[in-house]
Amino acid sequence: MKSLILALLVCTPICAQGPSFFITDPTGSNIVGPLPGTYQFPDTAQSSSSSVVLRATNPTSSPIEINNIFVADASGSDTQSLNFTVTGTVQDKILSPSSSNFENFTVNFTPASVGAITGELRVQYQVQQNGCVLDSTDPATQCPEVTADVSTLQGNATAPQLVATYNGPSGSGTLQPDASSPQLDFGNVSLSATASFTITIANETSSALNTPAVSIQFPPFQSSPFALNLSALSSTIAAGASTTFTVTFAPGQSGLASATLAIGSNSYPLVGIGIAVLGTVDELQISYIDQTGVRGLPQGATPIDFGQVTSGTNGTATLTFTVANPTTSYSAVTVPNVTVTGSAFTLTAGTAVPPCVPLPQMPYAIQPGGCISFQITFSGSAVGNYTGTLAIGSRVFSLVGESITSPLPDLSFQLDEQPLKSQQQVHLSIQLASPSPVAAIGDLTLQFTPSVNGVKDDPAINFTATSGRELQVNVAAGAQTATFNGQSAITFQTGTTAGTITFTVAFPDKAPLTHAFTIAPEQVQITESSAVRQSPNLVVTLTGFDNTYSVGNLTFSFYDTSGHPIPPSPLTVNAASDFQQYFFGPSDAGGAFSMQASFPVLNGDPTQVGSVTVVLANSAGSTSTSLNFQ
Amino acid sequence: MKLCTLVTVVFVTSISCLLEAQVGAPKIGFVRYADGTARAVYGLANNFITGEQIFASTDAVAFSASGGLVASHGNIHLIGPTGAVFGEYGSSETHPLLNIDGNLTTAIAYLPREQVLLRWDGKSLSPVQLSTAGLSGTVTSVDVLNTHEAELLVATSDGNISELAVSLDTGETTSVKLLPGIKGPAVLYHSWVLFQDKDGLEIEAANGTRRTVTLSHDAASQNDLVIERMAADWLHVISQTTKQSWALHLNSRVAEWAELPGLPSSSSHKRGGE
Repeated sequence: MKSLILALLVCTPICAQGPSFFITDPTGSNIVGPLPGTYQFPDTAQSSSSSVVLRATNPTSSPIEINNIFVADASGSDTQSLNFTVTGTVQDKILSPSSSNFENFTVNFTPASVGAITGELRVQYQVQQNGCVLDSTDPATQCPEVTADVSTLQGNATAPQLVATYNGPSGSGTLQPDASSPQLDFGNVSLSATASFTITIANETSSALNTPAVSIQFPPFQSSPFALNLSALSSTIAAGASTTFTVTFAPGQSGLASATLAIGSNSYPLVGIGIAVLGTVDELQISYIDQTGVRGLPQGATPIDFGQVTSGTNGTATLTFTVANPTTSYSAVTVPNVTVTGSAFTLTAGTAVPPCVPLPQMPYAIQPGGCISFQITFSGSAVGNYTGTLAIGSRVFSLVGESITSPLPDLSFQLDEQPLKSQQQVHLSIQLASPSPVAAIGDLTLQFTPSVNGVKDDPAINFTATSGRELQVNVAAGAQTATFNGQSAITFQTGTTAGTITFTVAFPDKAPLTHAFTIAPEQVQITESSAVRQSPNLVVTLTGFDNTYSVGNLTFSFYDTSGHPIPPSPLTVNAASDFQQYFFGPSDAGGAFSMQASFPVLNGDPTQVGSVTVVLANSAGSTSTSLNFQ
Repeated sequence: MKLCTLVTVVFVTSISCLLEAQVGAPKIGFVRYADGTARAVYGLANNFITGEQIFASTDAVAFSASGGLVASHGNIHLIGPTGAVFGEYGSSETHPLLNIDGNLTTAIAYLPREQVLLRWDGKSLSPVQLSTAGLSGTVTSVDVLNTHEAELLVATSDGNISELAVSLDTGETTSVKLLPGIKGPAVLYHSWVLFQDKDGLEIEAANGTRRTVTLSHDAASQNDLVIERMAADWLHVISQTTKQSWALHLNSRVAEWAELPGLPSSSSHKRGGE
């Protein structure tokens, strides 16, 4: 009894004799229930569509061939409904008696008029039984065909909500997604001209509606000859109101062009033909190459994009154009002028592109097979979008470029010692004005410019971490300090040469930060010294640096153990040439030096010499140091 | 540079003197980098210049103004002031302890596997087998005390440090002294004892006064530092954790601590006039 009730619940009216029908999910993967005797479609706007996916199975013990499934205008009728369609390949399919053998198909409700609409889903099929043969053409053996009602389909067709109409070169009318031929046909358009359609979207309901998305679909990486102007398109349309936009065809190349206009989920083909008017600049083939060597064919409808440059870096983007008169041309074409507008765009002859003539005096007649070339450079100093135009005679192209900057906050350098002096190890840190919203990796570089004539560098000036002058620094998201190897204090040596140390830190898409720190010339600095009696000599050793490389006079004053000067002290020696020989010789130690002076005592007792005072003079002044002999 | 002039130095009698002077780059010493290369370092404190590589692969080094000891692949080499190899000793030791305070006779090496001291006897590096009696612990420092004695610091398992005097003639321990208040691996350096604690690198003078070199948190963990003698008055201090490297300039007159530049880049520096 229970199974009988279940069978009654799941069977359609033709359950026992023919195929069974079920409703599946929209993908046709799973059955969601049996198809009832009456199926109600959701309310559907006129000219719009709603659908249901159905599954046909064979519950009998004999093979069934489904010859046709259709929606008739009424029960028992063979006249197909205008409001319902069946799609899918269910016709002439044989279903073996197995639950795993089925065919899916879709019933679409596309009301042609407003109001309540009904139809009858019907099926034509044959059952292989009593010795008959499916598909047989022999009347004696062929199986009888049965035509049966499956389910009554009902739907309520509402008035259309949004109606798109067009007005342009090919006329005017209501846009139909399934129109047999393109309604938006721009026809033939000169390469120096444009043609446009105005599209109006009207809200025919009694309440405001959101305007559907509008776009043009064109193959990627190509410049489209079609352009949208959505400036007049409102985001919502009030009840009974309308909004408009335009589609423009501005070909830059001759020949057939096509694309797709999408309004919401509906698509409409766009077609047009670019026409080159003989004897005019239309005949010229215009192309450009960007800095990476990629070639582009410009279209009048799509701006020529120079891409992005980083604000504040003097960065530029340059495109090299060639304008050629094809060899197939019958005559020379005169270019009256080549002009560029837009403050961020500069026209130059640039590097010649053989065999083209680099931007000749205008007007210029390009012979068949000949060409001219020129460059346009984009340089946007301030952050923002820039526009301009390129006109080659009557052919006009838009130019666009963008100047950008990183979201990284402003940077600054901080030193734990200032002013810088020679022979220091100083810690540099890179501070951000606020916590960084992004993580970033940058390059920190150190440059040294000596202020000493004839000196090019000082090898001791470097970042101690690597003995180099370039480090990769990191900024973590949320951090306010850059780090190297996790350390925010980056140690560098100031060397022993007067000059300027310049730090530069550069992050992608951000103007580099540069700051120079001066190391002033100073007197000779002695870092270690000794005076030793090495009988019969007196040996004075001085270690230090002269960051001016200009040590001149050395003065030695000797004193006895009682502190009395030993005449003829002081003894002055001009050591300039010898220090110069050292500083500018092969020893690469900057201004650091170690000097040892030996005084042979020929006829006396070195132990009676108690001390010595040494004065070293350079261009910054004099330094004195006194030493007791050991 | 040779500056010749006549100087009269008068004290008991008048004397004529010839002044002679030479100028050159200040030499500091030699450093073993993390990649095993040994390189000369010259310049000044805070102004180090790393020179060319002098050894490609070393396990330990110690240098003074008169020469140095270099351990490479188990072999111990005694290097003279001009770079000539004066002596060589073959062993399988990968972590020898090397030291040289002054002239070549102060060169000494401790080979922990063999428990042998190597000393320069003027002709060769001769081994002295240590008596194991009284030598329980890890030897962390070695130096020549005098012609017949060496001085060792030994860290016991409880972390205490003992200073041992060992006969270089017999290998026997002749005296043992506990160094109070010093824990963990310690190094003898002139009259100072250097060791690491939670505050950083401690430098304790003979009179017990201490200086502390503060280290970064990462480098401050116990037993992180390796100390090698890079010159008579200079120590090379390496953090095994952070790979940072410092030079400690320490004698009776100065105590300077500075970062030592890392391995040099290949870029060269050229000056006018070269």
